[in-house]
Amino acid sequence: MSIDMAYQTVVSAAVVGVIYSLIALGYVVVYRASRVFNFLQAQFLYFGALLFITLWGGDSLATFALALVATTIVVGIGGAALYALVIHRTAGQPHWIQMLLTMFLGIAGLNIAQLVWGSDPRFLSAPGERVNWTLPGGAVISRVDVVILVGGVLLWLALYWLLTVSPMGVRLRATAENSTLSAYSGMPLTRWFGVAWAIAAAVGVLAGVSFAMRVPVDPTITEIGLMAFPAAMIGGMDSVKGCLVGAMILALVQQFAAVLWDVQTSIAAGFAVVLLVLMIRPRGLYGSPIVDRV
Amino acid sequence: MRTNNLSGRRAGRIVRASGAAALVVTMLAACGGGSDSGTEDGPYKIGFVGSLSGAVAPVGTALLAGFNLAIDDVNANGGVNGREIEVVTEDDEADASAGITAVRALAAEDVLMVAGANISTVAEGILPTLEREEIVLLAQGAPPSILDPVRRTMFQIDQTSSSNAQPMTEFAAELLGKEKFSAGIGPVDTPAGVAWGDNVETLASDKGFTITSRVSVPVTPGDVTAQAQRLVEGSPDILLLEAPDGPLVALVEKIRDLGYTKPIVNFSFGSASKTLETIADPGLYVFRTAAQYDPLSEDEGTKKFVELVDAAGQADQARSATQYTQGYLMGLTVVKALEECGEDCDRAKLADVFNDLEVETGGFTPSPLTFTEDDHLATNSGSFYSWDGSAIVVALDGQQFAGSVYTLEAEVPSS
Repeated sequence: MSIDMAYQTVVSAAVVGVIYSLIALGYVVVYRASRVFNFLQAQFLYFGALLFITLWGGDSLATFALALVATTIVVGIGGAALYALVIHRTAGQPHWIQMLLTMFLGIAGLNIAQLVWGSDPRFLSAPGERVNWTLPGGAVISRVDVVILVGGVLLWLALYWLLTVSPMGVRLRATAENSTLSAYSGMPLTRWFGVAWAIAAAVGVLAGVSFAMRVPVDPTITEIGLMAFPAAMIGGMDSVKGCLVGAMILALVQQFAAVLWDVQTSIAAGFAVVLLVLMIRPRGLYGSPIVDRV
Repeated sequence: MRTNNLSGRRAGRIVRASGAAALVVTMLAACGGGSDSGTEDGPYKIGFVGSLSGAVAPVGTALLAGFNLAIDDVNANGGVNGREIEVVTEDDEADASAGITAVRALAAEDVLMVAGANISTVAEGILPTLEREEIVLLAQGAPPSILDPVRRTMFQIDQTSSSNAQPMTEFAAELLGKEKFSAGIGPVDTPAGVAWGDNVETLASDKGFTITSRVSVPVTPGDVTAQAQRLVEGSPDILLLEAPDGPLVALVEKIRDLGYTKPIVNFSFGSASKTLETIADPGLYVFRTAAQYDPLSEDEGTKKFVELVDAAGQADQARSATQYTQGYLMGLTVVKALEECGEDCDRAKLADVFNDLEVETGGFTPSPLTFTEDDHLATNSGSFYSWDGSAIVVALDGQQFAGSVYTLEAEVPSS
């Protein structure tokens, strides 16, 4: 591989990594709050992208922003409602039951989305002309990718503050650390779990729209959503910081493997990294220590 | 999943039979407990198997919709030989094992023949089951391995993707005005794609052009940045791709983002009108073996197709997926075959008919769809199209390019 190609691969991986980090954030937020693996995250991605394409007429930047906000709010509320109406019913049950429930809901959600929107690929063109820029050193990046990269990093920083520093983040962390104690201290757990689901759904929308500006939207976009799951595992399932680091590592490994070999190898390479990390550090790079008090 | 399609309506899903029940029924049928539908009064029963769920559902559902378009039209006009056509549909889930279960269920339903099979591994997997029952398979995605040598009951409605190699490389030479060009090639990541890539490499060796890179293209949309990077490496004279409609959009955009400005040629399974309009790139050429949804066409066959599509309210789907057109051609072929098979049609007789069949398409295809004992590929030639900034136009003055699964030196049919 030439230096130029390696440089271009790093640039591409950075864009994909930012999108992965948003998806992984959805997995992590729910896991941090309720210790549930949320396999509905990929469906939030798909549903959000489809709803956005439906709402946006494709005319201006203003309506683009408006449609994005509307989709994020609608799907965010939908995520919270889903928790309150369905997932919450299994509260107190072993986590694997809730995990299976999210998987089954995901399958149902995929089929419902196909019934509503059909399964044909849907295309989303970003507002304005397609523009590419050449970076110092020769790598090329499109304006869309720059927007995804910069917007994604800013969003991630905002969410990092929201989830780890802000009073809401502290409360969310408290519910995850010790839900019984949190409940005794008067915290409405259902509400905070619902908030976590709403945030997961909302970042799923943003990741979905980001992907939709790069690839056609069809049911296979949910596979992309699942491909980001290893990012959360690499970084640590309960670590917001780990999301970004894990996503960047995953994207770099996958992109370089795809350039050097092929797509199948890139997927295998991504999971190989997960295995490696789990063998060396089972809780992920930034995950909290797993402590069982006896 | 099973649906009935009778009297021009698209019915809903019917309960999936349990595996055990299907097996018992199939065994009974195999033991002579059943009889194919042609010997009974009532409708002709035709089976359809395709990828109707999962990642490649857009392909299978488009194929089925196009197929139903032709069948519904005939049923609405009194059927064939005074009998309606009933389509019994099964979902192969893009998986060979599920496909075998599906065609066993179809055999138990006494279908006369089976159409569909848009995934090469599924077509390959279900063929032995259908051959045992002497049921004709009219596939859309058959790999070369089951078409060459010719099998009595195995037919392919369109070019195989592998047979696109010859017309695409000949077009590249014509377009570039030189035989010795360099090309980056992107076969789709399937067994059929591998066969296409191998054919292009064989032609490169025979004709003396150079292949600068060979990169697998995914079947479904996804991030294709890495593939684009590898394809444009070395800046070849032309890119020859085998990208389905969905991935093609992302791939061409990414290739152009990387600064590659030379021609790109894509195969016939990724040539939908909407794809060309979405990409809107005058340097992108696609191979087509049949017309598509074109309201401006003067050809009788195309005009009828457009009328039917409009009446069904499926213009968007017809413009979005190449497989819609191929499904329609399948429907036309089935209708013609049943017409010739007669009122007392059975599986054996229908297989005989398929081995000597010509379907006039009224200009929808460059020449009639033809099956003979030696050639089970319905189309043998096509032209290349591109987007000129305002409309889809034929390239090189509509010059025809031949393709065949049996040879890499096919010639354009005289008609």
